[in-house]
Amino acid sequence: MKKLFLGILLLLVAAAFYTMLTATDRASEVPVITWRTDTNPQREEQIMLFREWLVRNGHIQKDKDGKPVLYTQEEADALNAHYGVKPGEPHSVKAGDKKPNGNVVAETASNQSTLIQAVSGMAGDIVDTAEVLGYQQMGVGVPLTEDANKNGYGLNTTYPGMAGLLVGMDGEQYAYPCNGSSATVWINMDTLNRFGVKEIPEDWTPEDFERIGKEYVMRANEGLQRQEYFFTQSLDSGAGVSLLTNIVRSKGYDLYNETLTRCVADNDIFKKYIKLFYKWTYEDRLVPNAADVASMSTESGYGGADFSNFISGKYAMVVTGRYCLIRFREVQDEKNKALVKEGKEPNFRINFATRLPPQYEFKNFIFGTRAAMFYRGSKQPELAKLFMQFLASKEYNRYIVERGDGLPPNPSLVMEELKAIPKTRPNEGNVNLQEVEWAMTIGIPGNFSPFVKSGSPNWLQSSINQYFNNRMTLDEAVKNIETRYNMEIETSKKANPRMMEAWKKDWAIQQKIDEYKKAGRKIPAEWIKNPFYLKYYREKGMLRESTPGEKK
Amino acid sequence: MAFNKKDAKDCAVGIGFLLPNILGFMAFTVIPLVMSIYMAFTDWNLEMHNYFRFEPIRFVGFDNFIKLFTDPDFGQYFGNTFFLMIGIPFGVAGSLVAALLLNWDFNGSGKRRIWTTMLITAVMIASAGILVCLGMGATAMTLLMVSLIGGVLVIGSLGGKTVYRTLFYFPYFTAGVATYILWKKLYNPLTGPINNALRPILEALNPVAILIAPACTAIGIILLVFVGLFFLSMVRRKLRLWRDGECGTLSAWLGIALLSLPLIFSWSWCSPSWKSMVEYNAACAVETARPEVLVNVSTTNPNPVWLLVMAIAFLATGWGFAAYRLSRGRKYNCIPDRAIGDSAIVDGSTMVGLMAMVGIACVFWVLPQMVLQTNGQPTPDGLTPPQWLADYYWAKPSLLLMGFWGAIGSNNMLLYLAGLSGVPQELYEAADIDGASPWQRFWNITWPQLSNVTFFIMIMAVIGGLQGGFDMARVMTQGGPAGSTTTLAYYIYTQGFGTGRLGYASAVSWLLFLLVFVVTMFNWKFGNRYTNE
Repeated sequence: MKKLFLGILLLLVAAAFYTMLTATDRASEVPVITWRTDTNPQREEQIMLFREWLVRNGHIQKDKDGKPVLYTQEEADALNAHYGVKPGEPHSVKAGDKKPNGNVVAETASNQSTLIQAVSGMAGDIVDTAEVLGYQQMGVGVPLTEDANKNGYGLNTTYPGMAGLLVGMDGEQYAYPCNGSSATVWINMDTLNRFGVKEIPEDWTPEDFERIGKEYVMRANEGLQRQEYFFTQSLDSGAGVSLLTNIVRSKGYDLYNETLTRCVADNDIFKKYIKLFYKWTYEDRLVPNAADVASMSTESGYGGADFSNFISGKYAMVVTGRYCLIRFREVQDEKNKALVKEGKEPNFRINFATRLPPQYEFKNFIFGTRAAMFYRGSKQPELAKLFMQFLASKEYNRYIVERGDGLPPNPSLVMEELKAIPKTRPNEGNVNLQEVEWAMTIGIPGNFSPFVKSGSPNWLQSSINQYFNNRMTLDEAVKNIETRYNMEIETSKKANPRMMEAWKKDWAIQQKIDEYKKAGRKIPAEWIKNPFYLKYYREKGMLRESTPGEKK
Repeated sequence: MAFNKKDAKDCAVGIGFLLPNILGFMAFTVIPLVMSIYMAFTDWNLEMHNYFRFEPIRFVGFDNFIKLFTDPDFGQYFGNTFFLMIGIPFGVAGSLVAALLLNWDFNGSGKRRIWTTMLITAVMIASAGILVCLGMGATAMTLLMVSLIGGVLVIGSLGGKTVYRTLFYFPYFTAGVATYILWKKLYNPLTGPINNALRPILEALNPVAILIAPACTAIGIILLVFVGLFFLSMVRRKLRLWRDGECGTLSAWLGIALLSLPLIFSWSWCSPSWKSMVEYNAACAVETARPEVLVNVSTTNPNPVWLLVMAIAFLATGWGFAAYRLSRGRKYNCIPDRAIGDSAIVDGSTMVGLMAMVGIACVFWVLPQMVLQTNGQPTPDGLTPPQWLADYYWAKPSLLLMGFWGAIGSNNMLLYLAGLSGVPQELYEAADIDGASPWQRFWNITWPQLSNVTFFIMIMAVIGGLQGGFDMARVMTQGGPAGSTTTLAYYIYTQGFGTGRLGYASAVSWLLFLLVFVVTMFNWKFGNRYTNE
């Protein structure tokens, strides 16, 4: 027994050593960085692209004599097999090609796991996140402003409204977008046409939405025992929050005040449109309620059940991001492959179009981003910075455009490619260029406050949910939104003295803003922290822009 | 005694064997446990305290615990945790019934088995026929389920109790997430097999519901009165046991306190249903030209306060009677905590049963609104099946039902089976000689002999209940709708890993530990005594 025990112990120790020695970063002869990202087959392709980019930009492996190290046939075959490409295919390598002087390994983890790893000093060199501000507050990110401006991945290379998502409370840039996400209305034109509903106007209001929705729902469900077709997905969801934000912003309101120091949702505008959502859900039945949703497809994946219902024609439209093009194309390809197998012409196409979400005067478009943050615990900072440069490169952006993986981070490099897409993919309408243009001109990030932790409950959605479930009256729901977010702000302040200090400073500015507003004076632009108000006041001529050298 | 070289060597070898386990236990249990005690009294926040940021950790005393009790959501989540524990007595009873059935040798002789098989098959075919006639065979899923149940019956009748024992234990060794996804499908409001089966039944019951709608108020009140009377009779039983020296004073008070809970909760549970019934009746009176169409208490202007008065009256009677009897003393004395197990198990289970009765009273009060419009005409949809996980009020009972299913065939059943095998057969033989009926055999032999197992199961189930609910909430409901299925375990997770406030999350964990500790102490102190009593 003793010998058996000792044997097992030795075996485990040996296995541990073997695992450690064969880990990619130890086994590799070049620096390796880890990219903590989401589960998406396209990441491997992007890694191959990065390796090509390194070689193209002179970051190659050299031997002792300073000569480039070349792939042998075995190495090339092994690498191609590893990435699942055949020789001669795009991104494949062949014997004699130069070897890059660095490599990236993609690792997937949930948001919670990434958070735990990040605060424990164990996260990847590059961390993909939509919560740059939260990570900055934890001190796990590295400020990049100087290097970014020097090496072409500064804020001026991406969307103007994106700054709020990449910059920390200290005003430094901490990340660069991998791909932008957006909240656009995607319309299944085939579904609309099937039920004889006219095209959705380019510029539409919630009243238009209701009118067309009623017509669609009536026609689509005619003769059915129970309602199976809806105008769009459930509004008791993230999409509902996004749509509500669009509408209230178009009326000049937002969840937080100008300095993001208080929630200000307890007003008639929020009440009016939450009530309208209830009407659309339970009275007009334009959108499914919780029971309808539970009764429909539960297929998950990119876009989840909403996407499946949209493709199958159960929803005439969905509010989703541009990344859904990946799924659209997958579905089309699968169906066309099936048609070919049946000996038919592979001509299946889903015809769709995009519109801004229905809204009023002040046109706005919500976007976010999966941003690459440079992790403070990185052991390969130089390679990690090169990776950031790669994200801003033409090669990467072209790839994002071609594959439909969100909005390109550096759009100015790929405008020609965006314009060319309608010729090659006519069924996609003008969605690619359209979204980029919206993001460039009217794009604003969704609701956020640095004083509300990203992991806190979504009180806006939760209160809508409580109202929809008859747990709260409309007045209570709207009051709850404001109270609960303000409680979160209070908790954050009390939990962190630095936060308290920052809040007091911003709150003092807020008092001044309120005085200026009352007096009808123009507000200094640098006082405004809320990207929505910055844009809104600027458009309304309510801001006083600071000139260079002016004392703030 | 001398400690020689060989002993030292043996000791070293022993420690060597134990060391991996001890190290693992230290690294993953003891050290995090001590850390979490420390955290609970500090402002530990991932924003300020992590690998890269070492800001001073402030000792905040009981601030985290105070915040916990002032948190507007904590009460709801605490209540959710306890609500889900209502299923425990039912689950325990179910596992006992399952164990009794599985302990029954129904194989018999070959001829008997063939007859059993034929009989079961005939019943199954007839049942399937009835279901199809009622319209329940409309979906392939329903037919599949009927076939599955039939198949199980046939295989069981051929294979005997071994087959059933394996099948009953199935839920326990099936992966949790897989069963949750399966139940999610079963609970599908429009296309799920449960609602597909319920729909024709409810359609058939709709005329009956319309018929009894005018009497619903009265039925609800009768049920509540029944709850009150049952409370009084159980108090009387408790006091009789106390008088005869079979129950200690402490145990008597504990039992009465537990029995009082349904009446205390009846106000908060019944009041909204009663109020909506009153409003509904008022609307009916306005809407219809003949308010007398709905013969109910609305004509006497009922007020929800009546419920409170009624509950207080019953409670006052019970407690007053108890105080009077206990103050008069008794003939046979005993220790204060004698029969505390009886109070915990019997009175606790009665409490749950009475709470269910209060819930049924509420259902009767909202029934008229489900089947009749305010103008007295039937509603277009009639009685509709629940929306289960999608409905605020049904989400918790849905999880409860699923938990009940899992509990029947769990380790509890195995423990009961083991317990049953330990019951001396001569006791049954003696009972047979005395001409005891099956029920008398169970109540006077089986149940007392299994008391130790029951007590252990109940305690473990309560501990499990306090710690549970996380995986169900995570997979099936994400804690919703509107927080209705968020339990303390899920709340700890969201606080710790959602907002990074580890100090606060630790405080919630320690409160949970305190509850579990109290229950464990209860078991430790009274477990053996209950068995011996």
